[in-house]
Amino acid sequence: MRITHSMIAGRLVSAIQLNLEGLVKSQERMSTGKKVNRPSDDPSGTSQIMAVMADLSATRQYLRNIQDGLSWLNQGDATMGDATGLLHQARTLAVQGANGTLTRDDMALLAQQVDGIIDSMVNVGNASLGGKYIYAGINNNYPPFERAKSSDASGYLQIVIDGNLYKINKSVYDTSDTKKITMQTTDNNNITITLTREANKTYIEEKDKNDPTKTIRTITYYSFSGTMNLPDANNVDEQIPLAGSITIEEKPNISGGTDKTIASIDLIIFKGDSGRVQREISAGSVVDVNSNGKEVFLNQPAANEDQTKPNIFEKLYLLRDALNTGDYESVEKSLGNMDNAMNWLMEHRVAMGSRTSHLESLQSQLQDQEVRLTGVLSGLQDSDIARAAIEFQQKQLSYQAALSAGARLLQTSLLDYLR
Amino acid sequence: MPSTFFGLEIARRGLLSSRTAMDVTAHNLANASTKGYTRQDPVFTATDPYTMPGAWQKLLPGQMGSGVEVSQIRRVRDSILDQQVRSALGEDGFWQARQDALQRVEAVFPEPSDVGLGDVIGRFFNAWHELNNSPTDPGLKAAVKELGQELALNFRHTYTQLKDIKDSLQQSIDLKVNQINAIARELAGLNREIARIVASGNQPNDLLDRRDLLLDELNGLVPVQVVVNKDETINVSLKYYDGNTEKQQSLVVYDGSYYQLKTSINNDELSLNVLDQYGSPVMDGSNPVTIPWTAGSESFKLSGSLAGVENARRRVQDYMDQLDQLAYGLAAYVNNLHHDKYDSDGKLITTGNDKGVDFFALNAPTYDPGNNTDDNSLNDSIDYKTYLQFSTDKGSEYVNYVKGYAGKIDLSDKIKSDVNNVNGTQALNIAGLRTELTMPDTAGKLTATFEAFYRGLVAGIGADAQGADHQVGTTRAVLQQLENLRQSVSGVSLDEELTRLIQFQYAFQASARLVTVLDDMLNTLINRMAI
Repeated sequence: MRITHSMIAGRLVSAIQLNLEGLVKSQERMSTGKKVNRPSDDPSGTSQIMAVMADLSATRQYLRNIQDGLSWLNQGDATMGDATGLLHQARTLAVQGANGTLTRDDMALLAQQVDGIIDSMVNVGNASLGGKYIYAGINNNYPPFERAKSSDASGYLQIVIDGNLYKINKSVYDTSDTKKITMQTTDNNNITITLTREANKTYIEEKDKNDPTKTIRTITYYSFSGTMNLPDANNVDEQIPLAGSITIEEKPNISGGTDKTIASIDLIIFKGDSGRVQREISAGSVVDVNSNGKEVFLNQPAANEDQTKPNIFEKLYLLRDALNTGDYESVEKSLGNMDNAMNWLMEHRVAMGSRTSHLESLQSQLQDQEVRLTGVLSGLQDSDIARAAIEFQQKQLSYQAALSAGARLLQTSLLDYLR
Repeated sequence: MPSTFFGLEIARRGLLSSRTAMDVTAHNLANASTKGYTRQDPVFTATDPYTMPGAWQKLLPGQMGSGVEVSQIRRVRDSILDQQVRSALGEDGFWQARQDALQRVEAVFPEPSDVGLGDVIGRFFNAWHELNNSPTDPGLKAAVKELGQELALNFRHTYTQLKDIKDSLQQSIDLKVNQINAIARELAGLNREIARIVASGNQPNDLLDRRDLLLDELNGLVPVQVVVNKDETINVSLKYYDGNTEKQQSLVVYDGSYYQLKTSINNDELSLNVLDQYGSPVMDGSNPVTIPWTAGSESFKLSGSLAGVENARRRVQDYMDQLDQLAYGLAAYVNNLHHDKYDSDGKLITTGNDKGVDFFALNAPTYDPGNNTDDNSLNDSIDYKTYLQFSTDKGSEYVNYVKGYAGKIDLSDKIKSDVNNVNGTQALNIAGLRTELTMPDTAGKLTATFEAFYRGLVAGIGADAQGADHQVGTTRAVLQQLENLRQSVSGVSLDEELTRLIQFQYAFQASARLVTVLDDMLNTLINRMAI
């Protein structure tokens, strides 16, 4: 083959280019510490790396979710422990009350203590974690339980519900409908307590004073036991938990009939929702991390359902009222109620405990996985520095060789030897 | 007997020929680095010998040589190598253009890294997870909104960059067509010139070099067929494909006329309109002649950088479409979960005032006029389930998305104005979209998660770029090899030329010496004798 000088120059230029290209690639691998720096370096590797990165980011998120879920479950367990303790106290009081040797006054004292337990139970139900009320459902920025209890002032009852003070005339206005008690507030607003038979729903409705058909606001989902009978619940599809008591006094009036007057109102209002607080703990696997307050504290089994899953607040009210009225038999029955209530709480705690252990084992699995994924990622994308350094040296050598050979060859020509 | 001064004539011819040869060598040396230059070679031929007539004929040994002349200055060139080099130039032009474009596309996607769109998608869903952990927390809602904005921004940014690349490729197509036109014009001029010079019996070596260089250049741009006529003029025609049939369109004709091309893009497909040298369209019957270019480029049948650029342009559009699909799919899925408003039958309310808040604005963007073939779709908001159904039903023909959406994706006004409109109760479901198979494959089956779809896009770009890199490496090597072979034949070697220079110098000196000897002889003969 005939070699010309422009061929030598051209080949040298392209050899230098090739060598430099390789050199820069090695240098990039060394300086970034990565062997895949752009998709075309290794398209399938890129896809794998991105998949592992996505897995890793998801795994880290799942770990955070689990961490968060565990603190919810732990808090739930702790509060249920507190609630069980309160029920123990109530049971002890019931044992005292049931032995038949106490005077009415002593029993009323016990009743007062039970009343205090109801207050404590409300506090337990309002347990929070980092500003979130764990029994309130999804919208958990506000305490879910409120005890609306009337106090007696001259001529009317005072009751605070949801921060509003209502002054209620003591007389019952509408008694024709047993499902509805309408109380008139002193500013002539009506508060209606409606027991809706179909869904066993109960509301407090605040009506407009000028237009009684217009509802200003409704507070749902509470009711009462004790002195009022609940409506027949045979055809009920949905059980709404209720608790509380409204005491109605009947007095003979001048015209020979009876006047019904509200003596006191004492209600547990649940303002949360039935939303389930859930955490996704691995792809597609979702775990509840709360127990719903309504279900735990205000469960209302239908007539055909297991009655040993009681409405805790209702049973406490029953105990209190039984002690107040000195009804030994009812007090004795309450012993069983308290036991049922504790078992009911235990059921929840067991369920939460099993979820906790599930989360904990998953947590350690995911932590392992995180370590493994990090290793895999490193294997996929990190360059072997030692190898890269040797490659770099090799390429540098061939680059230098190309330069020096080219430089020498280019300098030589027949001209050097002609006179 | 020849005349007394016969020797002087031989010496004169020797001197002239050596001088000419040295001039040719000087021309070679001067053009050693000229691109496209072909080394020239003086062809020495002995001049016609001289037979002495007359009675004494037999006393002579035979015909007398009469010296030398340079009968031709030859271009040392191998036309078969030329053909090979040109076909390699075409391949190289194609892959080089494709590689250039794809490298730019690749730079738009900073993957694999923790700053790319893939990472933002992951963090977007993580933010929803966090929100689910505290569904009403305004801080976390703000975080979701911020990440939504970052995601939208990333989509828009990536899309705009791709669009810029596509636009610049379109410009480069116009430039290349202008180049082709200029070359056709110049070739036509050379045709006329060469025909004239050849007719007068000369060989236009340097014009031929110029023409060969232009043909090289033209072959790098488009595949052409060159026919050399007897009078050294050429006919050049453009090779193209109409469907699967190869066709040709004349570009340069031997008589000095030529044709011009004009780009036209319809439905995003490139075709070249043919004009005559005066600028009026060439007709085939009543239809103007147009050359379809896109299909041939996409099927890799055409060579040359014009096809390479067109191929890349269409690839970029394909990437943009995939990005649109991803952005639109993501927005549609998130929106439909985010609405969270159902009618009495439990069906999601997607229109009217009763529907919930859109997370992303889904107003149909208006795409470039003429290109928006797919936008018959759901302009306000589409139903999640309808979306799935839609994609599944239409299959490969119609993967549902709005063209150009990725360039305009943004949060809805309601989300932008008030973070409390972020729907915390749906956070878990939206976060769950991350692992759901949401994106359709070409058959319309939902087979990929958002991230997997994006990975597919990036890996596809990577594979395209890598393929182009490899191809460029191969075609480059082949081209270099062939160029070397051609240089080996036609290139100027300084050493060789210098050697020949010396050779011719000595030849000149020898002839000069002959003149001196003859002079001496004649001096003796004329001045010293018979006095």
